Amino acid sequence: MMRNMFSSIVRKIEWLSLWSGRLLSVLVLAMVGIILWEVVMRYFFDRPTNWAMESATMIFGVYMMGGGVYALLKGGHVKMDILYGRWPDRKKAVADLLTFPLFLVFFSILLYLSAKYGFESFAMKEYATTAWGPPLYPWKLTVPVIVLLVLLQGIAGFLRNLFLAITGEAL
Amino acid sequence: MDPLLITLIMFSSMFLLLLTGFPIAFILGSVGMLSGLIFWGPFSLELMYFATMEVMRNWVLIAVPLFLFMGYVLHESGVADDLFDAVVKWGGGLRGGLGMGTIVICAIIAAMAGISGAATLSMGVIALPAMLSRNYDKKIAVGLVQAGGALGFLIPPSMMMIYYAFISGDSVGRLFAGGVVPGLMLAGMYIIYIGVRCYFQPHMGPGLPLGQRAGLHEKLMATKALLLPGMVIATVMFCIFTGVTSPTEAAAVGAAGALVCAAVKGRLSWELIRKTSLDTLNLSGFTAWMIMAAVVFSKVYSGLGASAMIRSFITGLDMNPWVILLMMQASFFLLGMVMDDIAILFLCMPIYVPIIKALGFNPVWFAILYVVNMQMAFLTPPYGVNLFYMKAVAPDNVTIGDIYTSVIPFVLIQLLGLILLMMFPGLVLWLPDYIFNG
Repeated sequence: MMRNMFSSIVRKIEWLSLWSGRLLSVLVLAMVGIILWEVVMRYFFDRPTNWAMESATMIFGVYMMGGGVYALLKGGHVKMDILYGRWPDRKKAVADLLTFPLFLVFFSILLYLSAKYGFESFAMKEYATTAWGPPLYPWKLTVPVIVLLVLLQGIAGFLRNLFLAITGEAL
Repeated sequence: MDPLLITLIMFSSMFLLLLTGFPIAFILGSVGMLSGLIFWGPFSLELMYFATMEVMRNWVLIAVPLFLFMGYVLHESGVADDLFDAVVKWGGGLRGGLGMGTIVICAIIAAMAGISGAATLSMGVIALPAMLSRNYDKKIAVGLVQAGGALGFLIPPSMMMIYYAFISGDSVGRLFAGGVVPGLMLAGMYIIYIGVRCYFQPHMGPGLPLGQRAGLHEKLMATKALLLPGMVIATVMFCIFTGVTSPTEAAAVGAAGALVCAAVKGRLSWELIRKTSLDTLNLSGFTAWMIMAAVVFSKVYSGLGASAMIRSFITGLDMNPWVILLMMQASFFLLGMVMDDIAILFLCMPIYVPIIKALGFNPVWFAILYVVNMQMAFLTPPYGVNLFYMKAVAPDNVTIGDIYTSVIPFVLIQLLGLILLMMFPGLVLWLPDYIFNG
C-alpha cells in the first residue's frame, strides 16, 4: 500500500528527470554547431555573426544548470565517501534523510528568488542590450523551472531513502 | 563578528557535513547560505541567484561541456585500443616498453580529455591486464597506470585550468600553455623511472620474446590508426596557442573533429551520441552546481570580511613569501586527502590568488603548482580519486594493499617534479611567455 504510493510518485518524478536529461543532452550538439558556424563564418567568409556567442552562452546556461537534475538522478554529485561508502544502505539512507532539510531549504529559497527575478524580467519584457538584442525573459524563466526540477528529483530521492529507512527494503 | 570565528564556524561545519556523505556542492551551498543568513542578514540570500547567473552566462566555462564531449567521443570511438595496439607493436620488445608506452598513451589521452581518471579507467581495462599477462610485476604496472592517469589535468585541455581562469581572471590559453612543459616533464620522469628500473630488474617488466615482436609493416599499420585523433588534438592546440580562436571555440572545433574521427572509424551511431552526450550532461550538471555553490560560499566568506582578514594577516606577517607558498602547498595536499579537487580549487583560490599576487608570485605558475599538487592527492589515500578508479577496474588478483603501495615511487617522482617547478618557474612560464609575448 505505502509501497505503491511511494513508488508511483517516485517513478513519475524520475521519469521527468530522465527526460529532462535526454532533451538537454542534445544541446551540447547545438552549442558545437553554433560555435563552429561562427568560426567558419569568421575565418572563411570574413562575416562574423553577432548572435553566435550570445545564443551559445544562453544555451550553455540552461544546459549546465539543467544537467544538475540528471546528475542528481544518476548520483553524479560527488560526495566524500571515506565513512559513508562503508555504511550499510539503510544507514546511508538515514544520513541522507538528516541532511535533506538543508537541500530543501537551499533549493526552495533559490526557487523563490529565481521565480521572482524571472517574473520581474517577464513583466518588463527584458531584452539584452547588445547588437543582437534577444529577449532575455524566456531564458530567465527557465531558471525557476530548472530549480523546481532539481527540487522534485531531490524529493524523489528523499522518498526512496524514507522508504528504505522505515522498511529496510529498497523501493 | 570576528572573522576568525566565522572562518572557524564555516569550515568546521563544512568538514562535519562532509562526513555525512552529503554531496559536496550542496554542503558548500547550504553552509554559505546559512552563514550569510545568520551573520550578514536576509539580503545576502540574493547572492544565491546572482551566483547562478554568474555561472549561466560565463563564456569561458562553455569550454567545459565541449571539451568533455570531445573526450568522451574520442574515447568511445576506441582510440585507446588503437593507441595500446601501437604501443605493443612498437615498444613490446623493450624491457619496460609496454609500461613506458602506457605513460605515452596517458599523456595523449590527457590531451584529448580534460579530466583526470579518463586514462586510468581505460588503461586499467586495456593496458593493465595486457601487462600482467606478459609477466609485468603488478606493483609497477598498477602504479604507472594511476600516475599516468593523473596527467589529465596538467596537459591541456584541462578542466581544472578553466575553473582557475574563471576565478583568477587569467587567460585560459596561458594556463594551458603553462601545463605543457610540466606535463611532458612528469611523463618523461615516469618513463625514465620505468625504463631504468626494468632495464636493471627485468622481472619487473620483461620484453616480449623475439618471436612475438611486430615487424615494421605491422608497426606502421598500427600507427596509421592514430593519424586522425592526432590531427584533432593538434588542431585544437594550434587554434588555442596561435590565438586563431578562443579556447571555447577551439573546444567546439575539437568536438566536431572527434565526431568526424568516430565517423571515419565507422563507430558513429545514435547509440554513441546518446551515451556520450548523456555522460557529458551528467558531469556538466554536477560541475555547474559545484561552481555555483562554491561561488556562494566564497562570496559570503569574503563578504563577512574573513577573506580580507586572512589576506591582510598573511601579507602582514613579516614572513618569507616562500614559507607562505609552501604552507599553501601543504594545505592543498592535506585538503586533497579528504576533499574533491574542484571543491578545493573553489574554496582556496578566491583567498589564495590575491595573496599570491600581492606577494609578487606569478598566478599562472601558482595554478600549475596547484595542479601538480592535486596529482599527488589523486594517488594518496584516503581520498585518492585514481585509487578508487583503479580499485573499480583492477583484476581480482590486485589487492587494495597492492594499489596503495604501488603508487609510492610515483608520488615521490611527483614530489620531485613539484620541487623542480617551484625552484625553476621558467619550466612553467617559458612556453606561455614564448607564445603570448613572443
